[in-house]
Amino acid sequence: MAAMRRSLARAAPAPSSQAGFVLGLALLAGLILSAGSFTALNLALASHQAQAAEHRRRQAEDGLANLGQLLAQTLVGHRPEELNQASLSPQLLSQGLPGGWQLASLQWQASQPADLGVASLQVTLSGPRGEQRQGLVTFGRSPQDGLITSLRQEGA
Amino acid sequence: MNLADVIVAVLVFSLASAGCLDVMASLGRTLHGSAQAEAAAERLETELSRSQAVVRAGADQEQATDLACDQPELLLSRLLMDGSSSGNEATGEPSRASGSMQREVTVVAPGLVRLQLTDGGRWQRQRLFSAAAYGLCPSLGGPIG
Repeated sequence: MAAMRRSLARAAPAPSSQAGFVLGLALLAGLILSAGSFTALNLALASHQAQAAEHRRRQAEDGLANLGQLLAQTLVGHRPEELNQASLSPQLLSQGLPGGWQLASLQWQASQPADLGVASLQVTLSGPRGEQRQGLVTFGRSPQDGLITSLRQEGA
Repeated sequence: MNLADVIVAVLVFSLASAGCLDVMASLGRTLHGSAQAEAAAERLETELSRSQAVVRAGADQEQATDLACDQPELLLSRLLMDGSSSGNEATGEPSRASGSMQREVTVVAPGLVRLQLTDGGRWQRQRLFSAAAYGLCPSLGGPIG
């Protein structure tokens, strides 16, 4: 009789708290897995964005270097004050600057202390997303006649 | 235990597991692609630096020659093409450099040459080389540096 009572007790349905526990456990595991997936997606997105930003930075460097070459082509054999931003060929500028970037400004820098053999030009580029990038293009200059003789350093 | 509860629990867990596995597989592919893209970007950067060094060295050697004064763009193109690993001398024609890198040298104006490097359509870099900047004709000034 006692054995039959124990057998009946084992066959009886589990209490509802046990069913709730299993469902809760599954929901919790699902939540954890979803959170992990979300984190992984964020990681991939951040990696992609960092790579794109690095590429934009390198393209801006290319733009500054190319502008240095264009300015050397224009300025060597001339005086710094002869530089006129409007006289730079838009076609050549578009060849030198990466897509979406534009020449914002050119400004000669006064050298401190005054060095007649060097002329430094501050270049500002504006990017497609409104970002700005500045660089310094340094030219060699003849102290005698003030003519620009060479490109010393491009970008910065 | 209620059968419906078990079914719902199994369903929730299975969906979450499948979604997570899918995302992790995508993440693996993305990270692998990112590593490859990073390596490609570095290759382009190295190739640009190497090309600049080749042009600088070549311009130093040939800055007083007739070609440097008469047709500096031709000299620059030749230096850039000779400096490529493929050795293709066809100016303006893209050539295969190392791996999937494409290299194109174009004369954009007298005394001005453009080097364009592309890696499988993913990254593109370009640099201009001007005769005046490299002092190719002594009357135009000295070399860079």
